[in-house]
Parts: sequence; C-alpha cells; structure tokens
Amino acid sequence: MAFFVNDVFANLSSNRNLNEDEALDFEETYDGLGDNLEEDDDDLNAATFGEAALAGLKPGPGASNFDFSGPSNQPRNGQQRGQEQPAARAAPRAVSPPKAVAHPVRTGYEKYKQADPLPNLGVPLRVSPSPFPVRSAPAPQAEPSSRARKMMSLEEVEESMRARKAATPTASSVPTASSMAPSHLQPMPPTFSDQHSAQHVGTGAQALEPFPFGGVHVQPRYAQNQGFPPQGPPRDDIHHYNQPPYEPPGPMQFSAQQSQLPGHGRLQGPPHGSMQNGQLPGQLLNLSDAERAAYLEGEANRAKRHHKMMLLTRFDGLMTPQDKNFITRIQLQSLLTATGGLEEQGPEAALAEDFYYQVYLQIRGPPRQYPHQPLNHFAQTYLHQTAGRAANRRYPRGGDNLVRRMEQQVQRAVEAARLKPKNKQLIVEGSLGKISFSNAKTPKPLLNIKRTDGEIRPSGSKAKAGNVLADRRTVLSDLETIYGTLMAMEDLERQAPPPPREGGSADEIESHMRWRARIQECSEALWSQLKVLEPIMPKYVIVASRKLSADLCSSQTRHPFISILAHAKGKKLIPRVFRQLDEQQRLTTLTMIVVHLDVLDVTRSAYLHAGEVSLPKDLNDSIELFDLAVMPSLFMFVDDSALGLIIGLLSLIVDRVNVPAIVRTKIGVKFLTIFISRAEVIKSAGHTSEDEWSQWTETYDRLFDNVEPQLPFLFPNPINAGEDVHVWQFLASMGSAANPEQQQRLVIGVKDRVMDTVSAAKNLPEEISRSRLADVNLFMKAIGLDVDLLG
Amino acid sequence: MASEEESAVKEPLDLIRLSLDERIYVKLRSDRELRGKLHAYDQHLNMILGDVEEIVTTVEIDDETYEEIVRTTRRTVPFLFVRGDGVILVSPPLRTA
Repeated sequence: MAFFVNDVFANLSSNRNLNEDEALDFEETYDGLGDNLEEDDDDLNAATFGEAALAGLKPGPGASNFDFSGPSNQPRNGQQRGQEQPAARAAPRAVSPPKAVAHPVRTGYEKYKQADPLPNLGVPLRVSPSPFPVRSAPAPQAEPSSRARKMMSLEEVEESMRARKAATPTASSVPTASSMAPSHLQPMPPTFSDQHSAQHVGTGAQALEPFPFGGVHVQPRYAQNQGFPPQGPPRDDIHHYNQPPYEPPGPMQFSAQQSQLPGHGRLQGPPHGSMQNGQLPGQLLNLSDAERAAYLEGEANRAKRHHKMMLLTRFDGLMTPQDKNFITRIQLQSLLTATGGLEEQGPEAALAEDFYYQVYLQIRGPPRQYPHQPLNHFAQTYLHQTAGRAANRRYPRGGDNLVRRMEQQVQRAVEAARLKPKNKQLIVEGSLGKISFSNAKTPKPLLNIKRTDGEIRPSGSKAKAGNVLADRRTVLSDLETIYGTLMAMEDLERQAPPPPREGGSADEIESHMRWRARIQECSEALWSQLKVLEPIMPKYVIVASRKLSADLCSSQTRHPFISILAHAKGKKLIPRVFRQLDEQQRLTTLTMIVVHLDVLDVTRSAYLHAGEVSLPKDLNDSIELFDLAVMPSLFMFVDDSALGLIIGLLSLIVDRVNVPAIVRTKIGVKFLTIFISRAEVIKSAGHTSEDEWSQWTETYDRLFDNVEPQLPFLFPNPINAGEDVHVWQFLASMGSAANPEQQQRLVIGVKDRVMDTVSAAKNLPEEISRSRLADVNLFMKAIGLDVDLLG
Repeated sequence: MASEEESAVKEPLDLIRLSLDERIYVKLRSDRELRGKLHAYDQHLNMILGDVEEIVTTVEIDDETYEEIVRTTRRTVPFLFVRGDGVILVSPPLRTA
C-alpha cells in the first residue's frame, strides 16, 4: 500500500517538475532521514507490526524510494537498504501517509518556490526538534546536523513555523514533549514496543491492523485536538496537510497515556485514525489530475500565506508589556522634566517654545489668557488617559498597579524637577566657597548685570522744558525705547493672570491688581515715550525741495512724534501702539497726525512736479507702508467717532494745514476722504442735530473753497498710469457731501479728466477699461450721473 | 541727550539696534561692501539684510604691464544672510547729500 502511494506521487512529482533537479530534491528531502533510519532497532519490528505487515512493506521502500533517485539507482543497493530497514523504518515510512503527502506537498512548494523565490529565513531553531520526531525519533542526534548542513527547505520552514505557532499557546506542554522526545525515545525503544505489543496482544489481532496505519498519526491528531483547542485556523491547515510536524508529542503521549490507560487510549485512537487519517492519502489517491492540481495549488497558496504571515509576525512580541511600560515611563519622565523646567522658569520659557505663534495669537486671534496653563495639565491628562486605556486593554489584572506605580514615579519626577532649581548652590559645610549648579536650562551666570528698569521708567524726568532737537539718533533711540516698552507690555498681556472672579481668593485678586498696576505703569511710559504731547513747534517754512524720509529729521526741528512716524519702523509701530492706547490717547495721536498732515514725510512733497512721471521709490514705499500700517488704525478710530469730532478734525485741517498741498498727495486725499465719508455716513444715519449739521456744512464749504482751485491738479499722474482710485474716491465723497452748486463746480473742475479717462478707456483692453470706468463712475454716481451718459 | 539714549543703548551693540529696519552700510573682509536694510542681527553680528547692494572690489595685476586693475562688481540681492565673522564695520549709510 505504502509503496504504491509513494510510487504514484513520485511519478506525479517528476512529471510536474520536469525542470527541477529531481535527484537533488529527493536527496535533500529524504536522504538524511533514510540514513538515520537505518540504524534503528529493526529487530523489534516484527513484534510491533507483525510479519504480514512487514512482508507487505519490505519491497516498498526499496523499489519506490530509489526509483527516482536518478542516476545512482542501483537495484542492489536498494535491495540492501530495503532489507536492512524492515519495519522500524516502515513504522514512519510505510505508515507513510506523511511521506506520501509530503511528496506532493513538496511539489506544491516547489511551485511556490519558483513563483516567489523567497530566501529561507532564519526560523528559530529551538522549535526545530519538535517537527520531525517520528521521522527523526530513531536518530535524533543525526537529524539536526543533517538539517543544519543543508538549507532549510520551504517545507521545513513551514513546518517549524506551524510547530512554533502551535507551541506558543501551550508553551508548557509542547516544549517538554519535544525536548523529552529524543532522549526519552532513544534509550527506551523496548518500553515503547513492549507497551504496544502488550496492548496489542491484549486486544488481539484486530488491534494490529489499525495501529501501523493509524496509530502513530492518530494519536498526535488526538493530542492536537486535545492540546490545542483554542487554535482555530492553524488546526484546519493541519488537517489538510496531514504532515508530521505534530507527531512529535504523539508517540510520547501515546506511550505515556497508553501505559496508564491502555484500554481507553487504544480504543479511542484507532477509530479516529482510520477516519481522519484515511482521508488524505485516500483523497489524494482518488483525485483526478485536475483536482490534485487544484489541491496542490491550494497547498502552495496556503504555504505562501503562512510564509507571509511568518514574515509579518517575525518581530511580534519582541517587547514584553513590561518593556513597553518601561519605555513609556522614560518618555513620560523626560516630558515632565521638560514641563517641570518650564515651571521653574516661568511663562517666558513656555513662550520661547512658540513665541511667534503666541504673538500672532495675541495680535490676531482671540486672546489666549493662559498660554502655559494647558502644559501644566498635559502630562496628567495624558497619564490618566493612558492609564485608563492600559488598564482596560492591556493589563486586565496587573495593569492598574503598574500604571499607578508609573504615576507615582512621574509625580516624584515632577517634584524633583520643581525642587531642583531652588537650591542652585550647594554650600558644603566647612568649605570656603559654594558650588553652583548649572544645566542647559539655567546656565551658570558668568556675568551678573543688574538691569536698570529703564524701559519702563516714568517719563516725567524726560519731559524736559524746551524742545529736544529731534536728530536722527534721538529719534532712533526713542523708537527703540518705545519698542522696548511695547514689547514689555505685550509680554505683560500674555502673562495676564486670570481676571478675578467673584469669590476668588485674595491672592488671585491681589496678583491681578498687581498686574493691572504694571500694565498701567507701562502704558503711561509708552504714552510719554511716544512724545505725542510734546509741545507743537511753530510752523516752519515748508521747503519745496524733495527730501527723503531719512533726511527728514536730520536738520530741521520737528515734532518728535512726527519724526518717529517718518521712520518705517515708526509707522509699523502705530497699529501695535494703538491697541495699547485708550480712547483719549488715540484721539490725541490722530489729532497730532492731522495737525501735521502737511509735514508728514508721506505728504510733504509726495506729489509730482512738472515733468515727473512717478515718485521716487523710497517715497512710494513709505507711502505704501503708511497706507497699510497707519491708515487702518486711524480709519477704525474715525469710523467710531461722532460728527463733532470729525468737524473738529476737519476744521483743524482747513485752518492749520496747507490744504492745497495735501490734496495733491495720496495720504492727504485719503484723510480727507475718510473724514468726509464718515460725516456722510453719520448724516445718512440721521442722528445729527441741526446745530452740528450747520457747523459741518460750514467746515465743508471752507474745505471746498480750498480744494476747488486744485481740482485740475488732483490727479497724480497721466491718465494712462491708472492709480488714481483714491482721487476718484475723494471726489466721490466730496460730491456726495456737496450741495448742487458745489457739485456743478466739482464737475467743471474735473470735467477734462473725466472725458480724457473715458476716451482713453476706449482704447484700453476690456478689463482695464472697465475698471477705469468704474473708478470714474464712483465720482459720477456720487453726483447723480453715470459714465454711460457720456456715451 | 545722553539720558535719552541711556535706555536704549547700554552697550556698543545696542547702537546697531538703532539701525534696525534702516538702511546700513556693512564693510566685510576681502573687499566686500554691503548696503541694505537691516532686518535682524545678533551678538556675532550675523545679520539679515534686505534689498542689498553688494560691491566686490577686486585688484588684478596685469600680466604684461604689471599694472593694478581695480575692478568693482556690483549686484543686488533681495534678501541676504551675512555671517558675522566677516564683518569689519557697520554704519549708517554714508551721507551723500
């Protein structure tokens, strides 16, 4: 029977793998085993298996095994070996479903090998003894060496892998079995056979039949079923494979169990065996070629899958839960030392981490009151979260303890971090000096310079009588002082303590009050440093020559605040300063700017002289900057002002400022536009008293009279240059505020420009033309006309 | 006036602070000069400059006549990092007017 099986699959395999080196493969798989088997205690076979079985098997191995060993096929040799290994080898061999299966399976793997030539990966050898006990049981010592000698075939990898998988859940049972199997079996073959023979004798001839066939296999199967119940899928594979890997525990258990419960074990064994074991060889035999191919295909796929799984799970479980715990603890500790360090240095350190973000938030976003507060709680929150999760998931029992211990350690770490900075010096008793510690966060100070609190110094001392010559350096240092104060204020803002709540502790309230006092002090200092309130100098003669902004403050006496504004950084200062000023201070600032509207660097000579096409780049840049930085703040302020204030400002302009000069500059025109349109908005809202309104009209009339002669010169540059939107806006606001008679005068004043622009727009590309006309229309609509009417 | 500056200027480097956001003139080793707007600096005089005009002066000796040929190369860079170890002097731009 067995040899027949072998023969069939030998042919099959050789047919299927024509291009394989069949001889070599065979040697690889079987040679070592065959050799090992030779030395076994064959003399007992007769007793074990009976003469009949032996007689039937004898020719088998010889004929079949050496049939396909290729050129070295020698009948003589085959005969010899066949005779030499009568039954003991027959036990594993002739009972050879494993072999029979192994063979086709091997072909399956060969296919797999071809398709996907993955190298044999080191599978831990500690499990290797177990897979082959039945085959190697006779000569276990030889086995490992032969296996080590050759590369492990995929099949073997496969087997050991599965063995390993099976071994993990029942770690206690299998290792002992595998470790004991060789030593146990080797020295005591007699016991083994004795027991069995005794049993066989006891049960009669019937028992002999199933045993050679199924005994060895069945028992392992039984053992598997008993021993690895929790394993679902793998066992399924095992059934199909019907390979020997799980046989190791077999004989062992069998002998052990049987010796104790002879009747029970034996009776149970054979039926199982005949049923389950017969399945595979029988199936394989009966399969058609196609089915067999499909089966082999399936085997190959399964093997592939297993291999992949092995690759994937190769490093699973490298770290024990304790290891992971340990790592987490380290990370948490460093985390907390870091935050602890922040604690010790106050909020500045927290700011250092993300200063720009904080500043951005402060200026742009909603104020985040306590930037460093979340950090304090972060670790704890994290801890609690992980603790909960860990307790739920990973450590059902012992986890709580671990986490608690970790928490305690973290607490201690925090404590230590807090305490550390407090004793920066160590004075050893009896020593003359002291040792000061330093670390990365608090380096040892080499110089200890006491900084005078100059930036926040009240300016009373500074407000000297007489006018300070605003020479360049003074202005620059003023600017730096302002910036210093401003930054101090912004810092203070960031460190604002929580606003005192009702029923807050006295401490809270006190700290808040202290903070308020400091802010107050700062803002006073800032205000004085801005020098807005320095007495206004008598007007000097406006020199018509163009001067660059840098030169502005070089020689002439000027109001310091205006000098500050002349610098780019001074302009950039305005929006930041405005946030810190109160309503009254803002008004004062605006007034100061308005009064000096004609001497600002951006208005003083920011108009084109005859023959000039564009302003110098520097001047253009500062105009741009003024427009972007200063105007929005002022505009927002004006936008909330009452009519009375607007009237006051406008009359200031009319009375004290060289209106004809400023209406030719972009910034001047914008100021006027803002004021007039604000007045118009208030008028349309209808909350004005008659008195106020007549006052406004009177002021406007004066302005109009001033502006009218300049109407032809309002436009900064030739028609084609564009960039006259602000003028059209100005004209529009003028127009909407004007009475019909003034409107007429307006139209007369700018008629030429309107016509020129409209006609020029006809020759321009569609888009530009449209935008130009829209600009003109701003004005036209304000006085109740439309560009389209002009045809 | 000394008291005016006291608050902002405490050490020599603070003078450079006054020139923040202003155009400055920087003289560098190996005959290089820069003119540009000072955006930032540090204690090593590493600087960030904007709208920089760089002037490199090279002196070559003519192979035949042994005359010195002074050549200046100019180029403009929109944004420049100047490493401080090459800085010889920093000053406000030289007054041309």
